[in-house]
Amino acid sequence: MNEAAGKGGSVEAAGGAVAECPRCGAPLAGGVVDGLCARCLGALNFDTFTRIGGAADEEPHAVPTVEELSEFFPQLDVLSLIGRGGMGVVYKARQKSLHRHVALKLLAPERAGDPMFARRFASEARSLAALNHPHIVGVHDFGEAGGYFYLLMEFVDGVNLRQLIESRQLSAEEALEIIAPVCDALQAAHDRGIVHRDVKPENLLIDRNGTVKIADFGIARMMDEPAVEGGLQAVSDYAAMPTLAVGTPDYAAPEQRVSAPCDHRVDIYSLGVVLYEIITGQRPGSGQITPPSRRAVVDMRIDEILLKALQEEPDLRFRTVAEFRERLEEVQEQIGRKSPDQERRTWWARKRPLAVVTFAGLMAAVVAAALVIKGQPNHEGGPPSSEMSEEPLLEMESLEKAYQAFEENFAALQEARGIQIVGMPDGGNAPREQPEVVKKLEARDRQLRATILRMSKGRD
Amino acid sequence: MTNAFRTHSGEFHTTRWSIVIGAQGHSAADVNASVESLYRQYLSPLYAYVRRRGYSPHDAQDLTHDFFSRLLEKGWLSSAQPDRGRLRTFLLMAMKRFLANEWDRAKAEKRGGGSQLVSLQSEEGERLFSANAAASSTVPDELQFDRNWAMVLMQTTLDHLRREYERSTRPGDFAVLKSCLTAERGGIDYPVIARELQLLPASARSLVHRFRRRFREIFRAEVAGTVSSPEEVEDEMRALILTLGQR
Repeated sequence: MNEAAGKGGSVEAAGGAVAECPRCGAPLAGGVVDGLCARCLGALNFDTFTRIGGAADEEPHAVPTVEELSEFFPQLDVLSLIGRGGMGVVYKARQKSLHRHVALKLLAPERAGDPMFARRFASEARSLAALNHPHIVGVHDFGEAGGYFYLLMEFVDGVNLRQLIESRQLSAEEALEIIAPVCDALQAAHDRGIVHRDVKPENLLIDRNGTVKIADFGIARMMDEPAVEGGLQAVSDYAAMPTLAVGTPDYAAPEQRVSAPCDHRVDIYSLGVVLYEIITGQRPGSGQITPPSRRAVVDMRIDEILLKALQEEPDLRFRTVAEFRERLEEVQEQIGRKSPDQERRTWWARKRPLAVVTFAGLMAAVVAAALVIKGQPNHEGGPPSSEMSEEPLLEMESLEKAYQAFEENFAALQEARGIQIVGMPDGGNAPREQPEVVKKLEARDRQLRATILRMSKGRD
Repeated sequence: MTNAFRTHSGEFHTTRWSIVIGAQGHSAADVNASVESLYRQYLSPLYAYVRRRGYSPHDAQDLTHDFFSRLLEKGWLSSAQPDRGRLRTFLLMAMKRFLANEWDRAKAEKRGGGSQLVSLQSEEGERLFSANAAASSTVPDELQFDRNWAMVLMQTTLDHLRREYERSTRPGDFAVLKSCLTAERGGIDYPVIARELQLLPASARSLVHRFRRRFREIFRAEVAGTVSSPEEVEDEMRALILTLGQR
């Protein structure tokens, strides 16, 4: 480190007595270091005694505007800011050459120019790009621009699971439709040695066709310090990236929270938290975990699966995500076999005590019980269950036809809700009458449910 | 060091004390690179101090050279244990003692020119001396030594930071970011910096912030290398910075 002691600037005092520091205004009595006022340079250190590592050490993170970005990404029309999180900022953009929408993710402005980070970023980005899977958000390109590292990714037009579960309850089959492909995608990645490390509802995107895609694969690792090289890290560096060092706390596996070595089984844990949340509406928290069946109407075998995925000790979890998925499907089948036809579709129902009571008061006990067990989800939690019985029933040729109609309507309803939440597929705002459209579809949804209920009751 | 922006204190800051102790029993002729670094860093303040005591440039050069030779050869450092305190204080004390007791004898024994290394550093030291003389003749010699010491540490810090940038993918940033070190927090014009560095404004803010933080980290590590225990770092930093504020 010493060969350049005299190479750069030099230490000296101001010649004569004329020069004054433009900042402190004092004559440069303390001298000049490399052209800088020594007093002010010293003050910078003084200043930091309270600041190093402290909250005050952090500058607020401003986010580039769409206009600012255009200069640095001439190949894109940057359209709008669509998200920001601990890992970066995401914009919707249009790739001029290919006339397609893309998602532009900006990361780590504090790493600009860092050659080691650049290498790691490039190597991670390449392996992500090679991770070609229908249920993983694709990486088209990556690079460094304007002081940011960026990823150009497939644009998923839809909602994330967080938005979905906050807008309504999911039925069992919907949940499985989401979880199963997520398992497949995670398994495919794990087979290539890539661990997500930040599985959470915000990172599970559902497009307008209902296809699930995992976003932000490997970003957590990219931003993290590799454990082998880490060694002694400056305290302030940790402080600078509190959310980056580990996954999102509520979903992070115990070993991630304490920065212990971790492998693909952290994803199994996080996925367990996600499924637990879909079923019960709550996250399991740490320590003693309440079995999901105590929080929602759910088969005990689901308890067993989730408690296994959520084991503190990685060795006690499922060995692979594939195993997790197989077990879920097995249980689903077992439940299905035991129950008559349409009940096969469901394996839990969210506990809704008030609705259940009202409902029981109005309907025959048998029907009420059947409904609760079958767990026909009552979307929106809005209309009281009693409304169901008042729906004008539809004439259907057969139960199968009724199911078909229900599914078609349900798909349309999902689409309509998607538009209501995120706007039109082309990026435009939702039509003003969209709430009406959703309402109509919901009404039909209720009618069809009631019809199916009546028809299946007739069968019993 | 591989990563220009990560602090692994062990990587760049070999403590000066460990250099001092490791150098015992060696002659100045076969000093290794680490001792050379000790020379480079601390010769100028010592040289300037000697000059301030009234010695001619030539004598001061000989004197600092001999001082270091004795320091290494005569086992003065056998007592330089880690509980020895601050290197700054230790070196000044040793120099004072040398001036009082040893110098005359040494001069009688031999008269030789200083090594090339010493003459190099004495140029720097001479510059310090004349600058000090011009700016503040009333400052006590000891305080001036401390001031120079602080400035040398800051210079070392800047040099270190400069080399980090030379190795980075944005080597040109250093000159611009350097000017932000002494600016008031509110007085930094981020849009201007962003334009100069071809950065997005948000990123410029982040880079400036990181640069300032990095300076503090390195400076701190440099200071840590001159004290014997971690608890002394803060005190030594305060002490050094205070010397700059006194007139």
